[in-house]
Amino acid sequence: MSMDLGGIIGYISPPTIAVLFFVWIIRNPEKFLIWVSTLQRVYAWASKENQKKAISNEIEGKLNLYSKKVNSELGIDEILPYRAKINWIDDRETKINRESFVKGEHVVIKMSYHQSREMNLVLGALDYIFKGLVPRGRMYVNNKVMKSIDLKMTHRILNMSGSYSGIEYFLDDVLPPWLEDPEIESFYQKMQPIEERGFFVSVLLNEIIILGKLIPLGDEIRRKRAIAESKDFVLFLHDLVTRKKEGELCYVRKEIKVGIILIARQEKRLLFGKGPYLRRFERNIEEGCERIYIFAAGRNIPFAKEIVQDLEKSKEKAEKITERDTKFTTQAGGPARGYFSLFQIQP
Amino acid sequence: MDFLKSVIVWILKRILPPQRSGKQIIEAVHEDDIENLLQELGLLESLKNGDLRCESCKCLITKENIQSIFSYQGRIGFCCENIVCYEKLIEKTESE
Repeated sequence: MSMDLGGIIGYISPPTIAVLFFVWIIRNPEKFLIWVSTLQRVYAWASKENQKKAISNEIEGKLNLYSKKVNSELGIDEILPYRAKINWIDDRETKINRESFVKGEHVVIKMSYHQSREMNLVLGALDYIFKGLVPRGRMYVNNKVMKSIDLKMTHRILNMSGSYSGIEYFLDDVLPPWLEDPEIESFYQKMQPIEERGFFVSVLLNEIIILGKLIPLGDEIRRKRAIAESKDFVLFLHDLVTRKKEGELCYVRKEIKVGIILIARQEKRLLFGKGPYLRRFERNIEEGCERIYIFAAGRNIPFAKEIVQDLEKSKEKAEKITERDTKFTTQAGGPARGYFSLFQIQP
Repeated sequence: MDFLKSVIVWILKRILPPQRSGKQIIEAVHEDDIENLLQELGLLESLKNGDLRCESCKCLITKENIQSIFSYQGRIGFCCENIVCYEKLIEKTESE
């Protein structure tokens, strides 16, 4: 035992630690930036340049870390596809003048070192999310729906930061003015159960991304149709996550053609096995679904994975696009393990 | 040598996480540099004379309460520190 320990300690030499640390940095550049910004705060009093570095490293580090986490929920980089980068306008090589400023599209935000750090993060997050969330698909979504999605995502990002004062500032000052609009308020409230049950990123944002890919730029008829459907689709998802009974549901319109299969009732599983779910899948295809999502939770997850495996083998037209283990909130309010799989149906 | 190179590339590909290619720029100005920026834009005198107003709430813009400077439809606009005005600004520039 002592030999083993001695051997292990022998490996943990300073060069080994340095190499491991280097590997950690290149694998976690965002976390490293947040660390660096914390250190920079120690000597920020020394100069304005240090303050600027501390502010930008903190905001970039946090926004990029949390946006990466959000992207990982779907396994693609298309939810928040761009890295946030703070560009100090006076640090540019070519100095700005009135003419060049007016010609460009600029929104320059004042960042203050002395006021609350959370204020800077909230201002940065609003700018980043309102412009960068599902950038290709957002033009195909009803404006009020998209606003409620933006706000929900901003809230989510601030929750990830764990900053109580940032969340408080968002809930007390940022959110209420938007919620004065009854339609935004209504959609925002609907986002809560959709998010809690794990459908916010995996279904809603994914479908918006797909709209952005399927509808050609400039096709105004399809765009208007998608905008109308997006509103209706949120209502469909809300009904689905708030109802008590299990079941399959289809949402097949002109632009959004989705089937959702929830594997939730254990007694059904024990009595009838996989058959009903495989038949439902087939029926969803016949009804015109182009994508079919399969969701399961807790003890149903291994059973759901078996169904997915069977579908992969038996359905030639269905291609499994993604499969992920997730976390969500049960209707009783507790945390639970979840699972979803997405099939693309070939025409 | 080529073999060594390909081994290093293979290892790095497995160590390095995939990076997102695009950047979304958030333009910022330090609170102490506001006057310099306004000077470059030829608007410092207007600020001192009390000629600048918030695009949204029309309140008087001062060095202390300015939150954002933006270009909009060929002119320069300002936004005060009221978060509601800032949100309206984001909405306006986003919808363009």
